[in-house]
Amino acid sequence: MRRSREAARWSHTIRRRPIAFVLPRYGPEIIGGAETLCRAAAENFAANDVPVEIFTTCAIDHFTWLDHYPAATTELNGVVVHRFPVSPARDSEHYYDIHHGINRGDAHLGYLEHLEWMSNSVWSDELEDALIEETPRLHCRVALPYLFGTTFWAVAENPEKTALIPCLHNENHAKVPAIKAMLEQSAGCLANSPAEEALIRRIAPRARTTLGSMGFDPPSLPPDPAKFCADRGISPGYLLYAGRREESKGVPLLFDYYARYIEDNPDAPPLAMMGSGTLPAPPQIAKRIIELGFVPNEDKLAAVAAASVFVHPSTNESFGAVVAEAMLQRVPVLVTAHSPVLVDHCRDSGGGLWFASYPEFAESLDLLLGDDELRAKMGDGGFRYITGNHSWSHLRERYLSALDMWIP
Amino acid sequence: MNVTPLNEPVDVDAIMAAVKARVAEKKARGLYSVDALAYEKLAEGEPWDPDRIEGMQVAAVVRQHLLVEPSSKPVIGKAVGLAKKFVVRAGFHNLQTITHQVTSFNTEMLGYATSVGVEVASLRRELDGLKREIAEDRRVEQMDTRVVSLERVSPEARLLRLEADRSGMVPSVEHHSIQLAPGAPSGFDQLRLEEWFPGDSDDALAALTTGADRVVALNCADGRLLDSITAPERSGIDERADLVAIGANAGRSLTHGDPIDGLGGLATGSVDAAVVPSLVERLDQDRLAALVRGLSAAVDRGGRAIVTVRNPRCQVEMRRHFWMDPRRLRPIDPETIGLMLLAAGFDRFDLIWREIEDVPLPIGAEPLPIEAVSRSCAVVAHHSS
Repeated sequence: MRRSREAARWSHTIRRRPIAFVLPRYGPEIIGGAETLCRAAAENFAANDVPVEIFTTCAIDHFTWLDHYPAATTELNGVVVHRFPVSPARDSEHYYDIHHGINRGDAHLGYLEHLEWMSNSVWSDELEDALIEETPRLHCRVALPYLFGTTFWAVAENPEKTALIPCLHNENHAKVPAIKAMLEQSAGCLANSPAEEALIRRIAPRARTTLGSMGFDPPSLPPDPAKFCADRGISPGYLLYAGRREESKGVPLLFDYYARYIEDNPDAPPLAMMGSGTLPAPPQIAKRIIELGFVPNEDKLAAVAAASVFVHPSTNESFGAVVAEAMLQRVPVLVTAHSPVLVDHCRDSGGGLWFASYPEFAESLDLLLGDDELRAKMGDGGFRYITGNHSWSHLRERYLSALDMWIP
Repeated sequence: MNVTPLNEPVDVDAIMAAVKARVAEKKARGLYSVDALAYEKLAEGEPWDPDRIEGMQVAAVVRQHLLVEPSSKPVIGKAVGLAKKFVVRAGFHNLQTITHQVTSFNTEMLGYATSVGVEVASLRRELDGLKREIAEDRRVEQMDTRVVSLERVSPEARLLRLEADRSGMVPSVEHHSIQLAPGAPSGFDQLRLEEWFPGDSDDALAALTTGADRVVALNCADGRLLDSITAPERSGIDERADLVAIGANAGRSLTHGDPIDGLGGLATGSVDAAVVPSLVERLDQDRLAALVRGLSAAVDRGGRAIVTVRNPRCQVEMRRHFWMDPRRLRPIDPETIGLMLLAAGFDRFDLIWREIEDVPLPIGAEPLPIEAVSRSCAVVAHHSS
């Protein structure tokens, strides 16, 4: 019933012409939050008869931006993907000079420097040409995330036809006038969370914005955490971190807090680390770490379901997809209090707690690990929250109604 | 956003209130280390009195803040600014650690760390100048005012100390039976304790008195240290009557009394070696000055004074133990003690780093110098023959 109502509602516009998602990199091996959101949304839309195409570069490494894939049009899981070579003219050293300057809040950097910054960010001349050429065929463009040349110049070229999923973080880069102008001139901004929506309104008061969120549905086949653990010779009940193993995700802080915690609680469960990245665990906790590394999608939910508590120390989150996935597996979460987005998820669901300091981390963990009933209740709260507010049908409804309104 | 109402959701706000109440209660009881609370203070915007900030505490704050919110320049700037004030006061080493943390833990902040590094270089030049002045003009009073600021004692630490005294928590000296490794070189000058004595043992301290005939140990508790010392004449002084009584029953030559007064009572040049374990952090400025003067007077020509110092350059030591230890009121840099001993009349001093710890480092970081991974240091000051 839902699909037929959707079809009737959108058939006159979006169903006839594709939505073009524009992003700097795309592929199954890319773990970034925005890239994951885009791929999941594109595949879900395509599977639900909403035509979408991807316009991206050939690169997959977000540090080097070297071309990896051939420049070509291919199909991936039912989605048409157009790849274009990264513009060779960019000067990454100059880019990082300005990038770090903005991060430090250097006062001498003005609007022209901000444009130079975006000019030397990742971009592709051929991608821009293709977007211009394909404009009549496409319903609109949706560019993401905000901090890349592909997004910035797509808006600059045709703002009326370009909506954003900015995935905005509360950082200095988001506050420069050029980014503010991009947000305000775009057709509209789809925020991943109420907290991000509030941030967009604060930074760019004239921007059109609405909540887009992300989509999560329970898997058709429930995961098998017992088998997952048995296959790896580990016991369920571990603490789990999932995501990129990088400093910017707060992983060193988690290591630091966990080291202190096991010093006070020698019987605490081990900490499982899932995701890519090379940041090593400090020697004093290395033996207490379960190194899951990159886990394929089919096993990921089982790995999450086997956890007793999902810990997420990352501050810069525009939605926190991994937290939502943990809630979907009825696992209570413990998140940093410095991410309003994640704290909102916990408050709205009753499915998680948050910490602003080591003492709060330790006390919250004590509480969660020591009370099976509380964990179960919080797990249920998280599950109901995600399925009741962030299912794929909710997401399609929000995206398509916003795009239909902004870009008729 | 219209969030779907939940059936009997868990009231996480109430739980968080309970968590915060529990944290507050433990905090009031002094059960958290200072660096665990330092970040919280800064994050809450609490104004900090630079005179109460200790360098490693600031380093911990800077590091934590970088990890939590890498782009927050104002807070980092504030912390580093305060750290500089501390560093100017305390001996210039801690800022180097801060710089190391900044560069190691957040490449985004590299540029900022570089500017801090320039400050370090400038401060180091200033320190070198001070050292020259001290070498030329051996006035302890000058040391007191220009390099050491010992009067700035943390009120929280003082309270902890009082509570500990009341409750009898002050722990006795721990003893270990670490043997000299086979093949270890003999003789004091060749001995590198960090290679042969991995623990904080009496044997390690005793080895530093090798060759001395007359040894006095100040603050030696029940005097077990004396059992490891081979000098024919060895005695100890401690202010704890109960511990002195235990030691005396075991046949050790111990005197009950204030260690510094006792030192002052010794005849000039009456000992070849004086050992002072775990004392200097507990002394105020006047008593520390009296200690170094007393050591210089009591130690004979050709003799040495051995003073142990917890190492504030070692973050592991700072974080894990120092701030929670009710016996110690403030960190003192080992080099500061060495300089004070020079100013009091000794001719040279060596720093012997002890209790080496593995300090975790991110990939690509340079190994830390031994000064940053040693939890304690023996400052050995020599009188020329």
